[in-house]
Amino acid sequence: MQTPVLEIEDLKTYFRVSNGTNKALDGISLTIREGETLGIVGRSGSGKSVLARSIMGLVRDPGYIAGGHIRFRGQELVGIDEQKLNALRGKDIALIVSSPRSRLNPLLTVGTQLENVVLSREGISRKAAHDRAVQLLTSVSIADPKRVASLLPQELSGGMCQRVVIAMALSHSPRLLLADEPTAGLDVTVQRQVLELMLKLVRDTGSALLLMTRDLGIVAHYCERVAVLMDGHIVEEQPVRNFFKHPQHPHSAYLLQVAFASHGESEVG
Amino acid sequence: MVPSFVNFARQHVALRWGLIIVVAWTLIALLAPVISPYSPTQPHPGEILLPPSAKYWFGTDKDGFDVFSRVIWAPRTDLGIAVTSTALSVLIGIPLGALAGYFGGRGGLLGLGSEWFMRAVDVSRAFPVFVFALVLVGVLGTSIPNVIIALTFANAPVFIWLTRSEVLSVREKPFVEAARCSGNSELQIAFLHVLPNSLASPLTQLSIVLGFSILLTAGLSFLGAGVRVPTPEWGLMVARGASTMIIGKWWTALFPGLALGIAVFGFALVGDGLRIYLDPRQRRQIEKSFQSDIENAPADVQPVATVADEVEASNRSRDLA
Repeated sequence: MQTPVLEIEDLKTYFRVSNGTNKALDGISLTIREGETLGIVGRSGSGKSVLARSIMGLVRDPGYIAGGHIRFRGQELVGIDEQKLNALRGKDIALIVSSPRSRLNPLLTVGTQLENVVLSREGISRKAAHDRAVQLLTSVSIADPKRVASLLPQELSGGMCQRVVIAMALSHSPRLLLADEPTAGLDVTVQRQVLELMLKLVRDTGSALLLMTRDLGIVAHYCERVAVLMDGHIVEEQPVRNFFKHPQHPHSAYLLQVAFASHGESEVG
Repeated sequence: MVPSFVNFARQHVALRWGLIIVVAWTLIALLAPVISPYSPTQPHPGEILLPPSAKYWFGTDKDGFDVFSRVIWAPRTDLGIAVTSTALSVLIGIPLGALAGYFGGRGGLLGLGSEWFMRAVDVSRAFPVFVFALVLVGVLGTSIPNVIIALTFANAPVFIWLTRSEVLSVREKPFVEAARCSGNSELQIAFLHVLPNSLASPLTQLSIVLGFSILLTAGLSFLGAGVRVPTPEWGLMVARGASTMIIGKWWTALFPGLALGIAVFGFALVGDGLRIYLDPRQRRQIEKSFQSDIENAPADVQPVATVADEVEASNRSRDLA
């Protein structure tokens, strides 16, 4: 039995709103082990992003974690102090989200930003960091890494930006990679490249992947297990194979039905 | 960035003239000892209130000073005070505004502190700058450092407010959160990622504040709370010239007044031009109208850059004919 990379127990993340409390996550329990890929599906507003933000410790006023535990390799993350969390964030736990361009500082070149990420962890020279940045860009299949490193985020396409963000996230071989709708807004061919890339790098480093998405097709192709999130509750958790054959919760059945209706015949065949 | 700014300045008439005025006054201030025919602080005994002539271009005032020499020397005082106090305002205002914006509205001790700080800034603005300067000068005596302190006190809040409001919006941008995700500390995020993205509007304000500072310096001297005779300073010259102006000796106040007006106008033009330059939508409009000017111009006065352009232009004029 492997040690779980991430163990979430009865996690409650609430938001104070004008007329009471919005229970974005209301008692979530999850476990993910090394080398595992877990897909979390659910429609908009079901709490996928809040889950990712809770794990990263990014929930801020008016949101708060009302209860439960998040354990990363046995270390409690709920109520951990900011400095210890900073030591984990970006190094051991990394987050990839949609709209990658907005995640990059518009005034710094892509290369500089990658260098900064590298430098924040390793005591090496600027020159060595630059070489490492170019090497990272190569590793995410960017054809002309030297030139791309000297460009600003606005000068890159969405797919390129997402690769840069992935390169950043993977620069320290995180033990846990959170991907929150990593392919939203990218066209289908780029989606595929980005996902394959992520998956390959996850496999190479043996880290765990938590993939949050609305797209059941992605889950079917890239995940081993799937959890269905609805209104802050996990209503079903299954291996992918069983899930598509025998969804157990009415909401899962509904999601599958909608997905196949919109994806057409090709997805079923 | 730099070549595109030069191009923009060429196209934008107001900015071009603003820059010319500002650069010209700066040069005059630097070269004053070379240009000015007489000493600005050495009176000419017996030659008081002479009208403009070949010997005294702008005439002499009631103390026998050469008005032209004093107008030439004055920007040293006025620009010197304005630049120093604006630089101090920026150095104080931008970091404080950044911190107040970054930690404001967050709760906790820092959030509370920054809210109180902003209220204190608001209160400081309740004192009219002239009254404040008069009090300061009354307590400490008239001197250039006191004028600089008074102006800094008046201008720093502008930069605090502007920086804070920009930081408040930039700190919520996704790339700031991304920086947090990759393990940056709060101060690193504040000064490396948030502040550089918040500088556009405070920097645009720079030139306007500079111009306004010149006006304030002159205003304070006019009221007797600024510099003293015989220091060459426009406001002081206008104040002393005003009394002789009513007996028909107009040159004593008119020339320093004109110089002051042109200088302030120049800085205002530069400030306005910078604002448009930094606003991509407005800039596009100017560049577009410039483009259409080129296209509508007759072929012989067209600013032709390359052979290809020339061929294209001649083709176009042939088409039109």
